[in-house]
Amino acid sequence: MSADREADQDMTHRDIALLLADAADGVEVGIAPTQAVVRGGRRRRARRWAVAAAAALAIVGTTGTVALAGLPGGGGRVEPSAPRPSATPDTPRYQPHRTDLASGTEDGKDWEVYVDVWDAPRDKAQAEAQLTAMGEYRGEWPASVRTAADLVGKSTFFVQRGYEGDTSVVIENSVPEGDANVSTDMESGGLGLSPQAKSLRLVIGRIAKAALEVTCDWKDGTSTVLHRVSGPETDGTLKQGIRSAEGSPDRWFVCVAPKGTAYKDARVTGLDQ
Amino acid sequence: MGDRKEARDEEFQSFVTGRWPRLVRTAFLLTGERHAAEDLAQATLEQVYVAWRRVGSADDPEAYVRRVMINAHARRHRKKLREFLAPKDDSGLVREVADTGDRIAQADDRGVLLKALAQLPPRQREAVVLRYWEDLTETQVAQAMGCSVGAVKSNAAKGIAKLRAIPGLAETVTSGGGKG
Repeated sequence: MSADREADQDMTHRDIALLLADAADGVEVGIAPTQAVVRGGRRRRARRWAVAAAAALAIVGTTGTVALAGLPGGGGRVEPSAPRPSATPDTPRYQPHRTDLASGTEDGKDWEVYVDVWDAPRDKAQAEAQLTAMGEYRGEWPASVRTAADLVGKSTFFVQRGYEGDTSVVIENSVPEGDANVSTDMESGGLGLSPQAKSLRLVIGRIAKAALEVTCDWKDGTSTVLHRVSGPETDGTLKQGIRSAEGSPDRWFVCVAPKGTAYKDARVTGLDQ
Repeated sequence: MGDRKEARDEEFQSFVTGRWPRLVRTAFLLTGERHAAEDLAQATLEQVYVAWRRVGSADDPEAYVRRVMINAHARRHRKKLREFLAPKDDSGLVREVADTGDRIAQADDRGVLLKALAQLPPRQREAVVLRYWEDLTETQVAQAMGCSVGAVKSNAAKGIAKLRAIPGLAETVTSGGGKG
């Protein structure tokens, strides 16, 4: 693209920005409905707790039914031969499975990465209920889903990065249930450790269950090698490594580039067997 | 404890008062209709209230607000609650007395733009509005839309290209936009 053409485009875009500003300025804005917003917010908060309470009741109810079915003369119901896999329940949880993936402190600032995984809904009604629960839970919505029907049979994850209490979704996707990475497959991304950071030092990735080792390469030529880890350290932090996440058919990893360098590449360098 | 909650509520109310006009304007460009814009802005702030303890202490509460608004906007689309993007009598535009040619021209420009925006798919419209009205960086837009920077570039470029291809708007742009 020539410099002249770029300049022309910039001019056109500036003009469109002016037109947008003009149209936006043209709307008559009334006084902020502050009290109505607060009332509505309180209602939403009450509903959110109601959803959580209903989910807890559903779990209790299921347990009770199973226990009764095992009793003689229990209404002719067949006792389940084995527990159902948690990732494929008939009634999905209307709250996510949360797994902390990594955390630490740098320059006195705390950071953390965790993933919320939502079970795949079985039908449109469950998908609609789940979308509502997602909105109530964190105000989130999977970007690739256009209608509730799109979510049926798909598990959704939201990876959140927290930095000094400021949490935001940094990676999200809805994938067909059981659609797991295999071998050295990897989906990963580099981003700043904080929302303001320009240097891509934080690397988050999704890899196969069989992945044993991941190597993160940095721009200065150094590398960080990760292995499987579980649980927090004695100081409560979660060190960088490869972890399982509840509800997810994959493993996840988080690595952070040393100060002064940034993400160049990441790859699976070791597998089971 | 009660004092702290009260202080937080007051802080939130100040935030709402200060943020309301711009939020409504952004919502207006997304929805194309004043009442839909006010609904969207109000629903957004209600959700922000729920998370205010966390959001209010964050460095950039605006980023959270934008994300909630874009999600809410997308949700409304998915629920087939189509906005009324074609400008009409209750479009929310200030109905100035068209006593000069300039004012008529200005209203025409707005109408052309709103109609053009209405023809964009939601993701393209969101990318264009956030990038060129909110003046966000591509990274900020990506955060607001919950997608990659590449997707933002693609959506914004396609949106702009479609706007440029609309004859009425192309003329407006060529003549220097609607600003006097």
